[in-house]
Amino acid sequence: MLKPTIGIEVHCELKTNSKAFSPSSNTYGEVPNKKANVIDLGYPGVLPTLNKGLLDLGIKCALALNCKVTKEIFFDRKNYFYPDNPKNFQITQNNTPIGTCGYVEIEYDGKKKKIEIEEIHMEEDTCKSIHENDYTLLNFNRAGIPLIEIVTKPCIENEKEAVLYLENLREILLYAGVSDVKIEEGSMRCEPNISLSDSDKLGTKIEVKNISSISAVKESILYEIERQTKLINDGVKLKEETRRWDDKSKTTILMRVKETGNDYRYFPEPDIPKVIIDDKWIEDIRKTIPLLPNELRKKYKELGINDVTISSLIQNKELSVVLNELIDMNINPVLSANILTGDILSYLNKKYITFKESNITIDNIKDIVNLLDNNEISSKIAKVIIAELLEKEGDVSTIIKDKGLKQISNTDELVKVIENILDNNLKSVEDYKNGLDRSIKFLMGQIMKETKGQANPKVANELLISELENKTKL
Amino acid sequence: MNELTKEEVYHVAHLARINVTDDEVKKYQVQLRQILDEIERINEIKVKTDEILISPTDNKNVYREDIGIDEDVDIFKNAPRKSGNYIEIARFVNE
Repeated sequence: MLKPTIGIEVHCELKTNSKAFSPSSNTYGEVPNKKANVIDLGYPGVLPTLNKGLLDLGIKCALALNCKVTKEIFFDRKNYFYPDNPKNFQITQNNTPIGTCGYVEIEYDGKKKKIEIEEIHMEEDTCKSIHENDYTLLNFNRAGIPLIEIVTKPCIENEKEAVLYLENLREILLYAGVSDVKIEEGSMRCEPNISLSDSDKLGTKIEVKNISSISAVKESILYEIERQTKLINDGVKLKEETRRWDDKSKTTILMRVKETGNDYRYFPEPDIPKVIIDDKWIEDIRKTIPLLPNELRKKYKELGINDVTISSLIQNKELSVVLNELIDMNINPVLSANILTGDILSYLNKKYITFKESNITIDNIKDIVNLLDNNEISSKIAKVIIAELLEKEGDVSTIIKDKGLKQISNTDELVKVIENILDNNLKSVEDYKNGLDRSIKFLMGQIMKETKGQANPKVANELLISELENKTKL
Repeated sequence: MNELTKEEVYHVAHLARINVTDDEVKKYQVQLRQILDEIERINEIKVKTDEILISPTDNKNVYREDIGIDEDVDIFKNAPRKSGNYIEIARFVNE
């Protein structure tokens, strides 16, 4: 029985201000060829200068991915002749990767599994090439942008584990604040390698490139398993090769054979002296790492937030950051989380804007949650206030005053309303007498309708029950 | 040691992207072997990774702060062709 073994290489652009080995700005979406200098263009005689921000983020990645940080590092030259890198070598790390022996934890089939990370290393990106019919266009804004390459051990057993690993990895890097991890913009690139074997010995490794989404990673793995199985069963001896995913035909296509292994003639980069990373540096970086998704999930669960809301929060990092601020201010976490992932999130999604771009503020939410928490407004009124604040900047107390939304907790006033409703709904009173609890729900609805949602639900509920009891006794 | 095979010389020439004539290949089969033999002698010295001299100086931890500085350089000065804001070259991917 042929069994697949999968390893994945991921490249992520690091969110530094400047490039890895030149002071040009690290940008995306700028006018082409505006953010590049002679170092990025690979002119003869230029010298690289190492960016401290690259080292900091490299260490941060290593820590976030549970790696051992290499204390003494240097860079290497990987030699290859290709127009996307005119100096004919890429500065990378071959001998002393910044991190080794890490892992990302996934949960598959109810079981926890550690996807082991062989190593992570820092390197520079190539320029972006756009291929037209008979020519190629080059944009050097991307040349020299720092990358972290994350290499797993061949320990992934199927496409589902691969997807879970990539989703978790993406979340970790996003929350750690090291990369935008936008696959569609190319700031995260995934390259799975797949081999099949019917024994403990690994089969022939086929690498797949040019994948632009996590779902395409899944499709490409399934396609390769099927393709290779058929070839092996037909008695074909596979050769190691790199293939390209074609999104249109949903197939992989053999790529031009590039240099491999020894042909890269790695040697230490002589223009960048060694870097010694001491414990203090590592600890200083460790302190800058916020709670990562798995730790956040645990924290939210302990605070009583439900699973659906938690996963919605984790998927929307900005809202999770807002919630953490509210929690730090001792605001009710469950109410805050429900508001954020409810009306606010659906509004943001509808308008394609971020929380920061919207009109509502953290202070607004703090006020609303406190009022809800003290039963001073109903959730229905909260909805009205939120809708108002999303459309226009304002403050909660003014809206309550202007719109006359103050909750009715005045007993006399509510009793009057309730008596009136009971008189007009004798059937429900009868139902209550006969033990039908749902009549209470109906009558509460009527009270809310009558008071335009302003009745204090807790007080109204208590008054309703005592009024009903009175009537039953009669 | 034996001289290099013709295929090995062509492979090295390909990596360097140079054309070689048959006469040159014959010459390089011998000369490259002599170079490799010298390198073998150097390889006999056992050096640990952390002892590798990567730079002629003892400098350590030389880096710059992470500040973006964009010079006003004419990127297209030595470009073969220009197309809009892009450098245009011969198409290089054969699929």
